[in-house]
Amino acid sequence: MTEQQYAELARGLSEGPPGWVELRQGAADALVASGFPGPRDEAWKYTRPAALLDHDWAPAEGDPPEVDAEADPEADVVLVDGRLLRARAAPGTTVESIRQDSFGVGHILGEDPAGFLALNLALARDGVAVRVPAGVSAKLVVQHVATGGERLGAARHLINVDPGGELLLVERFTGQGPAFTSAVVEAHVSERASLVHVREQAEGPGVPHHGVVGVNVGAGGRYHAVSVLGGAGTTRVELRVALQAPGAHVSLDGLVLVAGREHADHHVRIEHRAPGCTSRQAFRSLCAGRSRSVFTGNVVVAEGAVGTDAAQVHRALLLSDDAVADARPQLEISCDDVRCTHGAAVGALDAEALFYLRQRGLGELAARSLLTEAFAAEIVDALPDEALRDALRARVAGWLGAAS
Amino acid sequence: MGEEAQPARTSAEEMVAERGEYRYGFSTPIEADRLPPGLDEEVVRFISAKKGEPGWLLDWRLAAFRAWQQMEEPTWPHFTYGPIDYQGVSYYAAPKQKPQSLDEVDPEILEMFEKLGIPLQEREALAGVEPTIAVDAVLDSVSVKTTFRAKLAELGILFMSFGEAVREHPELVRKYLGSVVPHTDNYFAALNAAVFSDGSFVYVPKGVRCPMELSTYFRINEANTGQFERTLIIVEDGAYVSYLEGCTAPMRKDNQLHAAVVELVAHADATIKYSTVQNWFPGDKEGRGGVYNFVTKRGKCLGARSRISWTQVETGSAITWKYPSCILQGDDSVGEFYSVALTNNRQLADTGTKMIHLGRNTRSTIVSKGISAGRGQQTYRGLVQINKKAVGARNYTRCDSLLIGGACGAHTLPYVDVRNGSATVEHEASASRIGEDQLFYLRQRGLSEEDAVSMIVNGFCREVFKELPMEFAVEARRLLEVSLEGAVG
Amino acid sequence: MSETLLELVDLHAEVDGKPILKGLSLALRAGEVHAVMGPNASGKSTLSKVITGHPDYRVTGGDVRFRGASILELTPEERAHQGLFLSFQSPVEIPGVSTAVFLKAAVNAVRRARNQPELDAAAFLRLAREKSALVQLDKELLSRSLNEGFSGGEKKRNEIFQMAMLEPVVSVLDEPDSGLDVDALRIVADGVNALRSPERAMLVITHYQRLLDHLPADHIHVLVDGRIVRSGGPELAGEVEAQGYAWAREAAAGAAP
Repeated sequence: MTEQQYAELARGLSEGPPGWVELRQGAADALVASGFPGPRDEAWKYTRPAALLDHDWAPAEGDPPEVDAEADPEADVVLVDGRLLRARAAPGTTVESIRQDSFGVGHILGEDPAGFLALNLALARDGVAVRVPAGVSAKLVVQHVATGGERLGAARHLINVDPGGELLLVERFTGQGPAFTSAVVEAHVSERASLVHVREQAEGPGVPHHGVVGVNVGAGGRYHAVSVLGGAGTTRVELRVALQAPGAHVSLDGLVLVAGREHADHHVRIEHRAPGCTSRQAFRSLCAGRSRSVFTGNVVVAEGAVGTDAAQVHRALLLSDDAVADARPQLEISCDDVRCTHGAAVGALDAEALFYLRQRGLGELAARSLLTEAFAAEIVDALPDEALRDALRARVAGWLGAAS
Repeated sequence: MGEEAQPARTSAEEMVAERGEYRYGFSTPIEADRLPPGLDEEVVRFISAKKGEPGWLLDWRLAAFRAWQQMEEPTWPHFTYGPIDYQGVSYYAAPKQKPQSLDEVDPEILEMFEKLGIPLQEREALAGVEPTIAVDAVLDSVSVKTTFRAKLAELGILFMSFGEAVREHPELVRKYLGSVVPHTDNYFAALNAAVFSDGSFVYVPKGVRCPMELSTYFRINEANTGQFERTLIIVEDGAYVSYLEGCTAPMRKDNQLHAAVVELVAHADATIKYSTVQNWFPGDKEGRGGVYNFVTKRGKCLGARSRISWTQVETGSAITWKYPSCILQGDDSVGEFYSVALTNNRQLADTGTKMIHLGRNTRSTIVSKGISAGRGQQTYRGLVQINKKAVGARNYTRCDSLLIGGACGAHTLPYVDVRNGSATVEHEASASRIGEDQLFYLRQRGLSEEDAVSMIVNGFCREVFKELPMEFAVEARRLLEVSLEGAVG
Repeated sequence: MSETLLELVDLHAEVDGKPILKGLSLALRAGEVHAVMGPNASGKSTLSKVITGHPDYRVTGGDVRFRGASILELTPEERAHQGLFLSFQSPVEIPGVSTAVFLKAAVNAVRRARNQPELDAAAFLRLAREKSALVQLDKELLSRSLNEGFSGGEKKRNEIFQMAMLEPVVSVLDEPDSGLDVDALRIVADGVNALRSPERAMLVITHYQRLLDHLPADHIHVLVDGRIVRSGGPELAGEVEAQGYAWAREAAAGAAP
């Protein structure tokens, strides 16, 4: 379908408070004005926008069905094809439907969205607005379930962590195709606040997935994201972080597990806008079969952002001859008092290490598994709690078993 | 330029006084034969006719011109410059007298190249000393003198101006011209293909190791001209050549356009080393004047085990746009790119390389050192592409930026595209300023701040300088020092 | 009495707005070796950087005089030209700059400033060979990048070698013993001792008495919290070793107004 047709669908959805409807209608207009990204768009050089639009997606109508069988009992918030099934707040925090509390939407990612960002808002069925007050420490698990039927599950969230507050946000994406997941988070991390954001994309085949996360970090604040991609066909997650005030810190970790003809794209932009901020990126991709992993990591250091310390590493392990990896580690620096580094490496398993293990008696498969799991371990170990680490470790092992 | 307020008219002399450090800023009053400004098919035909070219070459030029008319001038994310008036440039300027021997070379020209330190007399040969360097001197659009042609010819090596090659070896030119950089490759390459007036041609036959450095020295002298030279180097099986290129231009308050094309072809087991020291006039401190250096350089490692190595030191030009690249087609072929680029005042440079791995076990190395000072802006842009059939291909890239002062910029935009699981690609990059502790250490030992900076910058570039032939390395170090003047403190 | 070469007068200095030296006075006469001892963070390294003019350190009061004239307004290299040498606690690594190229430039910069003729390559290499033997520095290190990949001992010996090459009037040795084993320490100390002379003075900064066993000092000063709390003869080092810095700190607290 064309931009116009999606915009028409959006205009047909009129439930919700006027403020919410107005926001969405504005986004529908913006979608028509911008269109979807074209083949010559540098930001989409290695991922075809058409791969996300391979069906005529339509928003889900009516109330969400009960999906107890699939819903994670641990989940505080459950969305089904973008519709809010339930939402409970952690003690001391507030969690509202975004329809009721949409003030602040677009403040971080831009009031005038384009392309898939505009599509998300235009067709968003719901989402949550979360506030963690000063000094409160909380955990929130949000589950997105796709039920197939060519439905477009678009959700929009807004997170505010007040000064000194702490939030562990776990977003988990599950379900089956054909469906399209479009999930956008805007988060404001105030001074001395902390947001740890674990984003597990785990839909089955036939669910193209597009996510955008926009975060502003205040003085002395911290944002740590761990993004896991793979298994769903074509996936793309964009992380846009601005370090707004002195002493802000961001660390982004990513793990891609792709096989078959899957395609996963991490697209990162970190802006150092203030002095004395630090950023770290560690992205790893495991590619089997005929899959493709794409990484773009752009670090922008504004004039005057003295004392910036930015480091980025991307490594891709190609487990078959037909796998493809693309990397664009980029630095744009307009200030001399900086220390910025990036490194990218693409290759197969180290033959020497493989030989060493086999010489000590490991079978080839066991040696390969050991080295591959070790490759993923840096990202797994960065997760904030043991249960999350165990789950991801199990996912890597399971993926490896299926891929080899 | 553009919609900016026009800067107050400044005489060339004032500019010399302001920027006394540009040593090559003189211009020489030489009687020149030149076309009036403007570009249309007639100009293309005129150039071709002037040079007595065969029909196929005129057709090739015209095809390029028509393609160029349909193309859009590229833009760059970190650069803006006022529109270039392609109709305001003269596309042909040549010294009036075309010399047959050195005695006939205009003494003004001889003196000018003497001033530049380029010997056009085969002096060493007269003294009975083995020559180490042969020179093709190109003034504005035309080759004025090629030294040691006879000596090289004894070995079967052809070293001559492009125009002579078209007349004397049309079969070679026709076979290879455009085989690496097609006439429709990009906007500036198409423009060059349409209007190129001269350049250098080198052919090294099978198994011959060229005994001296071959060198082209480019000089833009005439005001308001573009320079569009074309270099073609073909090295047959098992042969070797080292080629050097130097460039200067007078200081002029208007921008001059330099859009050159270089094509290299290396057959099996052949090696081509191509070194450039580019010192076109960079403009004054405020960014007035200077050369727009939009150059397409590409080499094809056609045969197995062939090797192409680019080394460049870019200190001049107002704007540089240049990506010397290698197509690694032969199995086990090797591509290398070693670069030092320095931007000071308001200079802009967007440079890097493309390594296209096609053959099995092909290897490439990229070492790029960028220095930004003043309000200079610099971008490293590179592509490492490992294609499906490039089994066992390897690349190593090291890309470092040094920033001097808070108003400059350094940008690193590499593309890594790996389509074969047996390949190994490593990319490392860093950006930082000169360490305060390093500066203090050197000053504590008695070095002035300027000497300390220059020493650290030279150390930063050493990996690249060691790839240059000796005389060039000395020149490069000196240029770096001169170009950094005023960047410190 | 011999000439006063270096004099610190009620010196106050800060870094990043934080006062470190709080009224420090000291005088070095020709032929003397002084040692400044003190606990961590007492201001020892700051003292060496302030004397040699590091731009990060701001003098907020008092004076540093070299041969009777204030040098506070001089750049680091001007101080070096006058004959002030600092052996760094952690010598910096400078990739791509060969030790020989750097040192020849430094030697000649200092010689020019003193109106001495510059050394040509041959004379420089002769001198370098002679002086490197003093600290048993592997001549191969001369052609390597400055301090890059040098072991801790090699870096320290390289410092003393440079000191021998530059023939300073006053040398400040900032913890020349840190990170060295006993054998390496002996080599460094022997190198320094060989450079003692009636025309020169040295200021040795250290945490441990151990160094002073190898490099005996005429005067010992104990630095605590930016002030000298005790001065005395060589015997003071033994006291510090026996009683630690705690008593010195108490003495400092007692002395504070």
